Amino acid sequence: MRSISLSEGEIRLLELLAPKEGVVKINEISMEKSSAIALAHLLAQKGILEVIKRPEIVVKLTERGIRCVTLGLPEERLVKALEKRGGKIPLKELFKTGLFESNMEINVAIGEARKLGLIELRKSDGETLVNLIKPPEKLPLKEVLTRVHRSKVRVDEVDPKTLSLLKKRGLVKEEKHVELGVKLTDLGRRILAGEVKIKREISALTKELIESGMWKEATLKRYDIKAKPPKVYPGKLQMYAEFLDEVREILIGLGFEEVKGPFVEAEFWNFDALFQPQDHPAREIHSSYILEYPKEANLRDLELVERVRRVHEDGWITGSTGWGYKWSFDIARRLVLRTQTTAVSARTIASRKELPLKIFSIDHVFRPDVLDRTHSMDFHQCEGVVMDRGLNVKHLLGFLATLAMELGFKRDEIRFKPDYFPFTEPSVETLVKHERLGWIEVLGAGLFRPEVLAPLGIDSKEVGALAWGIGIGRLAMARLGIEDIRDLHSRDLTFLREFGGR
Amino acid sequence: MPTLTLNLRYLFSLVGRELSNSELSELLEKCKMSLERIEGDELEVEVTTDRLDLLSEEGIARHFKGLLRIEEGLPRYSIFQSEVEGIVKESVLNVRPGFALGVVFGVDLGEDGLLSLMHLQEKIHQTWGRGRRKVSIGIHDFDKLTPPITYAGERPEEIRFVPLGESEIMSAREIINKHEKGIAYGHIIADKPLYPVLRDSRGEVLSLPPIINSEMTRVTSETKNLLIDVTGTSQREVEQALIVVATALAEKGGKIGTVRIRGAKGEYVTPNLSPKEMKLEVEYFKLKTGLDLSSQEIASLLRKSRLDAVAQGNTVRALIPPYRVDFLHPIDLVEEALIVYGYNRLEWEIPNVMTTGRIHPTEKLSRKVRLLMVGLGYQEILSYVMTNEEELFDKVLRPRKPIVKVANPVSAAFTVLRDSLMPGLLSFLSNNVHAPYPQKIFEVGDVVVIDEKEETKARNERRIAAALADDVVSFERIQAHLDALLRNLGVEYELEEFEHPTLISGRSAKISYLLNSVIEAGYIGEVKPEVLENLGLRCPVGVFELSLDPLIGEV
Repeated sequence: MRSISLSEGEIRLLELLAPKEGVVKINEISMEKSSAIALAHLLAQKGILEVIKRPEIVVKLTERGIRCVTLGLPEERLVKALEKRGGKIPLKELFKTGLFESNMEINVAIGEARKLGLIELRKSDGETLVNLIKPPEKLPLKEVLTRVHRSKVRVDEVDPKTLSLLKKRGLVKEEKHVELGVKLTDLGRRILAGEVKIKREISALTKELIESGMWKEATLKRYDIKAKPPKVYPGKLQMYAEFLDEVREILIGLGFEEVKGPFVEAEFWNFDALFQPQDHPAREIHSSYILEYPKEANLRDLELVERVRRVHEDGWITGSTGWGYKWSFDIARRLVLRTQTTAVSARTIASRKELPLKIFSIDHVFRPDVLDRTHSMDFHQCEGVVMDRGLNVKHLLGFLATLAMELGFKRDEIRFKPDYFPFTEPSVETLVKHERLGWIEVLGAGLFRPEVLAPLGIDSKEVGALAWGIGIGRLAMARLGIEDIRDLHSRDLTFLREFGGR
Repeated sequence: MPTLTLNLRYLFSLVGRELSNSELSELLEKCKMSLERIEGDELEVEVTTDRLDLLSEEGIARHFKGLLRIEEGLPRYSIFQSEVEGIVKESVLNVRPGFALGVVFGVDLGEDGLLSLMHLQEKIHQTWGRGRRKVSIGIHDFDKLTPPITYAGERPEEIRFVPLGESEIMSAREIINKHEKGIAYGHIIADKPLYPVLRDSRGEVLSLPPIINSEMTRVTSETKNLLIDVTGTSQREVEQALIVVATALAEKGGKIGTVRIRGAKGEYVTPNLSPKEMKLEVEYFKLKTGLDLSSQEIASLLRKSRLDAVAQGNTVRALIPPYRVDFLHPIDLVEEALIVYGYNRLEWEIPNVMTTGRIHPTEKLSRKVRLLMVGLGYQEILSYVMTNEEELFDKVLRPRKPIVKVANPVSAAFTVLRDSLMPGLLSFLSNNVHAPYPQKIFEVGDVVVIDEKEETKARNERRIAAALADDVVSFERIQAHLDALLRNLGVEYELEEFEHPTLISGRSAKISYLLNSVIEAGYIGEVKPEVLENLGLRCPVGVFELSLDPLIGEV
């Protein structure tokens, strides 16, 4: 009688197949899927079974589709908003509800809800009102979306009309998959019928085999060394966090001490102490987040506050004309989400005063922007100060060039140009040559203005304070090859797991 | 930063010669502008917000001519005292108190000049004028009106005129409700009992600031004599805007006439074109730049920036043109001279400042924690600090409580600052139900908690949170990881059974550090199935969250 070498796993798979007829789908075999596939291929090589590939088309959610599963379809959100507001909302105010990401989405919501007879538009007093007629009993589109989100759904399992609607709205797409099946060959049947003898192979050398000396009689299964191993995911640092660590290391290497400050900041520290006048555009509601709660700071150092007021109004002892307006304490103590880490520099100088001082901070700042490929409401700044007697613009440029070189740019590919920052004078922007992007701005800097330093107790006639900031997000994106700023804070586990080295 | 679109041909004609692209970009750089795009005659640049005098071709050409040494020092304008008078009525002071008038006679506008003037006006409205709220400018054909000009607040129904671009008389209310400009800018005055209005001596309406002028005084490319009115909230900025517009027109050969204004604000004359004087010590220049230049050399640099500057011993006495509003302190003269000198001509000097570098203790501890978590097989994630109350509270069944909340959100997804890391981890897991399990993630970052004792009523707190999702997750399994973390940090701790709204009762515990005293540190447990359902999660999840602040300096 003929014999054939089989491993424990192969034998188990064969036994599972024994009671089944014809083509058996891999999913129907009660064994972990990746092992079943691997074993099936091994058995196929031995001519014991046949692996059958059957293409199938499945329905997949697009990004927009995923959004609609979590947040609800636009028309669903519209109805909910209407229900909350007693059934009526002026068309103009829909965007302000924050439920929609664009006017286009609002148009979709209205169009779809009208088609379903859920709402109507009425004009009254020159404004268009959206009126709720009736809430929907159920939304077939949403049901399908949820089904697709929960499990694998084939195209032929969805009502074709619904499917084409979903596709038209860009909520789902079709994807080709290959479904695997297996079928026993004649040889396979004969093995199961006992007509071919099975010689058991050992798949792994074990402690027991070694200790008992049984390894001498055993045949070790040959490995298919070309086969892909199972995927394992190591624990990993997040790539942007790792990049920030590297920048930290560079700055520490240059002798800087890291400092921190609060996210919730008084306008006083975020703006006034930095000599930004109270009507500066950066202080308006479309440029900084003001707070509904908590609202007002308890400014502590009222003598400092008084010096800052003077410097704004008439320049105080600095020889400056000041901004020539009536400075308001109420504006200064208003709380905001800090818009710049320069606030931390101001706080640190105020509390330390000793020379020399070399500090930096890498941390979150916030600005009211809509999150998209290039903008974020919550991003990082890296900023610092070198302060000592007699520092001047030549030192500033020398330091910026050193930092740029430490960040990996070449000496002859660094240049400077004049720029404007409200709290520094002279101000400078550092340009470096990037192989793909050309000359890019990476380091804004300058000497802190006398009007900034004097109230903090620093005499700018003696002391130079070099203030600098790195566009850290942009640098990270250039370095990591990331083109969408949202990927720096990716919510996609697969993206993070697969993100390779640089 | 504002973007300007300039007419290159017109710019060259004002400068008096053509400029190559490299010359152009070098000159622009010295104006703190960056060249965005050149296409045919169109030049697009970005301009910084401190240089309002550079918002027109005329202003840019004026500065270029200095840098190219075509014309140096203060521009010489012909200025005269006009007969024109302005009268301010008490009634307008509560509505829009800032007011200035000026005339420019004998100007040769042409099509290019007219377009440039309109662009300048619009740019000032957008930037400085804050969408016309703070400053708005009206320009009129002087020959169509009869001075003196009265500026008053009137009841809306009394104001009726043909607005610019229309053929019918409209009331102020109609303009605000129906006219394109009324819809755009009406909100600035709509709710006031009185509206600001300018009339000439015949009672004809010239303008309803900040919305629209009358058709009667429309300016065309043929107009020779102009009246400029500027109104707004701040007198200082109103007058500065007038100077910028009037001097831009004077660059085209116009004579600037000053106007005497009397009435409810007392007597004053606008525009005030006298230059501001400022002195710069050579010593101070050297201290700030490291450059050893003589007072003559510095003066010569400043003259190229259109300042009148003379050397007087070791001092430079500078007269600053009235349109430059960015000189507050001698340090501004330092920068001005340095820009003309050229930043890239300076030698670099490495500051010889000896200090010790040091990582922040919070980050030092965080790094230790992060590396241990990675060693335990966890993937690090980085969430935004901004989130929303639904994610932070409702979905994980935490009762809402006062936390840091913004008053002006731009999206419903980002309205508050997180006070816990755990909800962000769970929401991350719910985004990834299709990725292979087990999923082990962690985040080390700041949350913000309300603290009335702080100067800013809130405080950042450094935390670690970890989540483990798999087919089977027991309390014991996540506890093993917590234990491994704290053991390796050398921290003694104890667990005590407690209730957490997100966690299964009887399978959750409060964590306390046993330092010099017992310090409450966080919690650990299995997530309630209701929460999993809310988030569309189909696997059990174990979590823990710890405050790291008590450990700083301890481990």
